[in-house]
Amino acid sequence: MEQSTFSNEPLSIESLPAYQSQESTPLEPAYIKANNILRIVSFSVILLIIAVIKWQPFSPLSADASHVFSIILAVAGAISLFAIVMGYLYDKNKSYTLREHDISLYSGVIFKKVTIQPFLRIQHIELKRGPIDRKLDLASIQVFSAGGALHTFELPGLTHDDALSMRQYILDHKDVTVHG
Amino acid sequence: MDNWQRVSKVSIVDYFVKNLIRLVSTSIYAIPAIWASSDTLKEHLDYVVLGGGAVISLLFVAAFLQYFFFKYRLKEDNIEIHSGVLFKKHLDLPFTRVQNVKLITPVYFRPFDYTTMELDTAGSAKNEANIVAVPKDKANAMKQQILAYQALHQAEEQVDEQKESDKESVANEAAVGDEKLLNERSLLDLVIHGLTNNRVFFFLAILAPMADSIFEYANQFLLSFGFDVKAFLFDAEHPWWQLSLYFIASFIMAYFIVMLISILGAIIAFYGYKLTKRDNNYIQRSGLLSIHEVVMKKPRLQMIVRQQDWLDVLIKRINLKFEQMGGLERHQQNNVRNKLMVPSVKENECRELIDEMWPTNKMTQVDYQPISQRFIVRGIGLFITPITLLLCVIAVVSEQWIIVPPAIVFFVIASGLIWCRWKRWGYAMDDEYVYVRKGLLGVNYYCFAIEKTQMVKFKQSIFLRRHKLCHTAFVTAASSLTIPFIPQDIGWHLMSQSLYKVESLKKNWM
Repeated sequence: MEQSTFSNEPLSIESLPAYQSQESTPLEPAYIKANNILRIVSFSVILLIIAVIKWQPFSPLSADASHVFSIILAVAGAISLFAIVMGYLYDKNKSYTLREHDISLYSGVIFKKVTIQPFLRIQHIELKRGPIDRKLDLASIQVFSAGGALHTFELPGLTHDDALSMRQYILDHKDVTVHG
Repeated sequence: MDNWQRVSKVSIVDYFVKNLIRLVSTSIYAIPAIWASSDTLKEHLDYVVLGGGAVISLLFVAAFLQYFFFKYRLKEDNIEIHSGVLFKKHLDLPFTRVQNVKLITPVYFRPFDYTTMELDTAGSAKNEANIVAVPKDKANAMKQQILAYQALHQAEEQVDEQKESDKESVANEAAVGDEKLLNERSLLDLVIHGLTNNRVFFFLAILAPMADSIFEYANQFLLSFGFDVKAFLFDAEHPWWQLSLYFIASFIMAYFIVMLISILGAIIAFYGYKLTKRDNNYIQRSGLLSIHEVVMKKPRLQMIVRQQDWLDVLIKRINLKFEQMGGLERHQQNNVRNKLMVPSVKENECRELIDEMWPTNKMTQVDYQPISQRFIVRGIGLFITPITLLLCVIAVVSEQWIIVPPAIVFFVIASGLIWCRWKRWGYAMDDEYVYVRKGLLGVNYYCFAIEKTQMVKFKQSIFLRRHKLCHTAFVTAASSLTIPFIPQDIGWHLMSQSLYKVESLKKNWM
């Protein structure tokens, strides 16, 4: 019975492309937006501090020092821009698929990565909500397997309700497999 | 035997040594600071001696108190232990809960014929009972009493049809059943192991507290020969070829010494190595100074690793590792000794041991698929060529043409090594296991049962996608294994196969 309802049995290579092109759910737009704002604000603060040091009137910098600071400012600006754009693309490219027996996480911009965690191997689940998450009614789920802390499966940017029901789904599933 | 008893006073020595080791190992980070301030310390030598004396005597008092407050008594079916100076601990351990009775004899107990009893329980390590410094015959008598009780209990249970299955298994495992010897290592094997593997740190770990005085002594030793390094190096009398000969000779000498130390380390760690089997448990005992015992239940085995360094390949010896649950949970220190590893076994012994663990395993016979040659292209393109070009540019700019030949040699050797690495890479999968082979000059084989997979990962950069290649990683409870540069179809196939096995068979991973 268990096997007949099984959705992923790609034993022949021909059936595999379908596996990869499965539909996946992107992260909540609110999460991506909040993350964007957070990145822009934090990088702006750094740039602002550098600018204040450069142009503050209290103890004017020497010409050399001023020159060095303009270079630092330019480099920091470029890095910030890159980080903001890449961060946005990274969030945008992150998505997940919940299946009957496992959960997959798709991520990466240049280096694409798919992580698949079977429910059967899950040790415990954590639901995490920071202050911003709570404000926006978001949550992230952390799934731990015996693979160790280095291989924790983390899925951010879910609505709180989704996260709760997902957790329940996984726990119920595990229960079924342990006792059934 | 119903009255409270104290252990022998010899236990003070053991408590003292253990506390001292704990103190040294926790303050090991202070060594650089002490080193830096050694001049100041030398000036106030009297205070240093006073402080050292105070610490030692404090440790001694602590050890005495630990001895004084340690009491135990044996009853018909349980053992009670009262211990602790400030934090009192009362342990009441029924014999049926004892999984394993270990007798550990540290080197300083041997002349007195005392031993330390360790009673393992199924629960956490905190509930373990240690009875330090018991006379050997008494310890054996107690062991017999516990095991006899368990055997009796087990017999009773067998008569009684409605036995609890888990209780029985506990009794089963602890029964003094016949331990079957699987493998033994002779001194010669250990010498070979020391030669082929760097086991220097086992030796250094013991010497660490004395390292300073050893260096001091070595320095004086050299000076006593009238050998002054400075004068030797900067003396114009020696022509360059003579100097380089000296260097080569001293390098060989140093290598020889390191080898010797490594052999010593191997002997210290693995002396009297025995791998035995009792029911479903594999027990490894080894050690020269204090004997270490590692126990692994068969279902706990996650991955078999067959390691051969280049020297091992030449003399056909193998280090066989049986990996259990990951190193993250266990403490990193002494990790190697907590692992089940058979050092430097011969080919036939290795095969026997692997067959014993996973009989259907085809680690050496299976056809390994090569990975894509893009691996070589990336290695040369991304790392070797830029470094070579940089060296050449430096040569052109500074007109130091002497740099060019070494740069070319570097390019050739590094490319050759990349090719060797590529040649070693291989992967395979059958109905039950995933196999990976890798190495450079040596060769390592990894193998794990598919149903022990915890998680799978698929990685692909945009460059790899153009060539329809990918990296695939399998995470098990012992460690994770990545197979790089394989066709993406095959990568997906391996992943979905293993997921399918995990999810449909629903086998336990431990």
